Amino acid sequence: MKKAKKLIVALLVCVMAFATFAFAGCGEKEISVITRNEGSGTRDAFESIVKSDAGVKLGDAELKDGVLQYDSTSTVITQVSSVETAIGYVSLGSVDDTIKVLKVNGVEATAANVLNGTYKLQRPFVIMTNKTVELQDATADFIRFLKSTQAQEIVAGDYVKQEEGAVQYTSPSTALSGTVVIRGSTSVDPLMDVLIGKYKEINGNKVANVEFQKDCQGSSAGISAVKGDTAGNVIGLSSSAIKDADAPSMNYFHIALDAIAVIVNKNNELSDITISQLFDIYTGAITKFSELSSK
Amino acid sequence: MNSSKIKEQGGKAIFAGTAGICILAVIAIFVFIILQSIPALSKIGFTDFLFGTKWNPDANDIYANDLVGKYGILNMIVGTVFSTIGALAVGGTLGYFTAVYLAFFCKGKLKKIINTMVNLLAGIPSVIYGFFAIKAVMKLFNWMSPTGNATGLFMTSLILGIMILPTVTSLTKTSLEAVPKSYYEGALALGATHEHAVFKTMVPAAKSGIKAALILGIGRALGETMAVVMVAGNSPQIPDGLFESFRTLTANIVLEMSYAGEVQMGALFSTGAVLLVFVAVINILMGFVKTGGQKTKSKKSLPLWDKITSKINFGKIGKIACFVSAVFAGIFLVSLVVYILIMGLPHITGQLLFGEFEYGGEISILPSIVATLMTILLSIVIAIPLGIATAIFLNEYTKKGSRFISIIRSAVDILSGVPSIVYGLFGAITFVVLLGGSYSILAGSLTISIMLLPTVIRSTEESLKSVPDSFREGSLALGAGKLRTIFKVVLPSAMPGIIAAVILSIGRVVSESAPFMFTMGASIKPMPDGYMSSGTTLAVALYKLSSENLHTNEAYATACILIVIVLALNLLAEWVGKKLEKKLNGETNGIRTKHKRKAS
Repeated sequence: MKKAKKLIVALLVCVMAFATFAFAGCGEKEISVITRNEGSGTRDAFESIVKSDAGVKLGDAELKDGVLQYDSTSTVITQVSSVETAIGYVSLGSVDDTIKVLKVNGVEATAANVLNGTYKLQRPFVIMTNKTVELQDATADFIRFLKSTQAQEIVAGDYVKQEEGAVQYTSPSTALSGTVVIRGSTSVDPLMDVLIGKYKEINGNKVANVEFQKDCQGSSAGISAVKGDTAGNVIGLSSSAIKDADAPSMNYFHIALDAIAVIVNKNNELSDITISQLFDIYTGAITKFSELSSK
Repeated sequence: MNSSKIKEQGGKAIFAGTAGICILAVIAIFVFIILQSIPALSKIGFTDFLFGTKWNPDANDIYANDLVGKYGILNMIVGTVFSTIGALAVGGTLGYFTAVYLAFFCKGKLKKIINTMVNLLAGIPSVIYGFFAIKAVMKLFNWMSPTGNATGLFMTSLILGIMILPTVTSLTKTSLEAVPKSYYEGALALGATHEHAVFKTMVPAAKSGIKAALILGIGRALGETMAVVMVAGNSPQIPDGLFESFRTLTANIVLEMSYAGEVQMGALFSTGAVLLVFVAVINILMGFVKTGGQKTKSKKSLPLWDKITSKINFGKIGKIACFVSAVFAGIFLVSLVVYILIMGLPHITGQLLFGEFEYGGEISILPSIVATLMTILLSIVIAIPLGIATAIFLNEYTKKGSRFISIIRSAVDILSGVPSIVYGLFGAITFVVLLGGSYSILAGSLTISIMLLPTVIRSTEESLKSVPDSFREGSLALGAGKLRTIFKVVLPSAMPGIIAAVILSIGRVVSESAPFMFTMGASIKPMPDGYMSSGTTLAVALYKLSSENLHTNEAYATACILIVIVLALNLLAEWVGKKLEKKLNGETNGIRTKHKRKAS
């Protein structure tokens, strides 16, 4: 009896659900707005650049209800590639051919446009260390490498160079040892992998006893790790400009610039979007893509 | 003589001590999580925390200053409840009918195949479920959603439902099969059809077991993390539609843990504490079901309802539902496995498996394979002996109904119900801190060891129970002491269960990821050079490889390898089970003949 009851209820639910879906299936769908989780440098940068016409930052406004939040770039890309009405943003370096990148304010997201400043959605990759403790030799040497022209050559591969102040790096005269702890942005993580590889390649045996402990779980995690550093061996990575509140307690420099690409589904006819439209989409003032073209 | 007595007493004390460790572990988990949450709760305010509907934490909040962020988790509690109900609607129904199908409507090869499939579903890492859900399943349902994006309550319920299906199915099946055959025969003798006998006689007789299965399913759904994070949408709001995004309590922890500030961290621990309360409630519910379920429930149903149902030949409908459920589970599993294999197999290369790890070079998961093996080894070495000893104590040394026993049993139940992400939190503030504050394979292994205990204990106990008392009596009668009886007679006969426990444990270590992320680390790393270095297990590596969208192919390949491992473990378990059963039968015959000889 109970089972039969259950069965009938289940059937009713199915019928009702399908009726609802049938309605939902018609007409133009709403935009499926996707953002990153809090603590992501990408999100932080996005929300500080995207402004309304009146100049209100997205970070200070309230996101519309039900904006999807995902903790990884790939989830954002996967969803955008499968959902025709989705919009999201990721690091330009992670973009693949399953999705479409929009021009922002009419400017394409390219390295050249980032460098000349016409592409507005850009952010620095920041390397941070604690200001109050003295850095251990190995950590200091690695920082020296990160500031070098050799490091910039690698940066130029996938990102935009930040050449100011870069000098030639030379190997240390004696062998180094110790642990270098690296924490922070997942967006900078892949670049860091290559940089560490290059550093080891240049120095060979001299750094054979230097151990890199790298664990990247978000820019904010990097900032707090640097703040809490007492041993002088923590390097923090941030994919968003350092805030005034954090600046006094740390030494930092920009190692690269990165574009944040606004992405939509390949079947989306849209090819261009403005910063203020982005603001309206993320705050819920615009809910359908058709509203973009009519404005 | 005296020395043997000391030995016996010592043995008993050791077994009791290991059993005590379970109680200790439960206490430690509750105490540590609650201690960490008290400052945050008092700062935020208990009611503001539990009933606040705004979650907008500020990482710069510290206990000394006024709060800037908002820390209310009501929406997430509601989200968790919704998704659990959804999971139960999907997984409970499917699992129940699949179990009935397995128990009564299918035989021989087909039964075996479906059984294996259900076990396999249980073994697949939750990261892979999530991966499969967003890569493939959501495409099927996007058209239904008003935003064209199927993620949210609906997808979460579906995926969670499939994930709890094995739990519900296997427990329901066990309790159905425990119903005496004579009930069925009686029903047939009274003229009932097969379907009638099944649904009107057998199923009601197994009611309390089925309820228990559903409650355990609820527990599983409640604690699931990694798959949910990928499909729930994670915005901290109450979902007001099937395709609305929401956030669960577990997702809240895993999303924010890595960068949380002082107060935020406390609030996350409080979130963990709320989950523990859920676990406790579920255990209490379970207690009710176990003790009073059958007695108190009298059959009451509405007369109108009876009229309706008597017109329907629900036996036939039930049979169809059973078949459909089993087929659905099968299709889901097959498509998941095939999809992962197709996407992954071409990308499994020598470099990926055995290549040397180089920073910035091509990906190699060899370090993760090694880290996984190290974790398996250590956690088995810790958990298996402890678990076996506890099981021995529970089964061999104590009388039924003793208070100490019931405390240990509830401790074991609670341990098995604690969500894996809460284990992660616990490991992060105990083992990681104790070991000097940095992530290490040791910390991860210790954390997972506690998680394994309930599995090992239960599985061992089952097989200890199945050893006939006559074996023990015989051994004792021959003058062997109790310890000797246990080690020479009981344990060898219980070997299949112990092996099963080992295999289950390995499967668990391979598939878990949430407890490792905050104890072992989460970045792909070079080869670990000892238990103190950090590392990633394969499941965590999969999560990490896929996360920046730069190594998707390698992620598929890793998923593929994980599936193959799970498959192999399942087959191994079955094979070993069979082998041992045969051998055991031979052995018991041997013992019997020995007995006979002595007697004569």
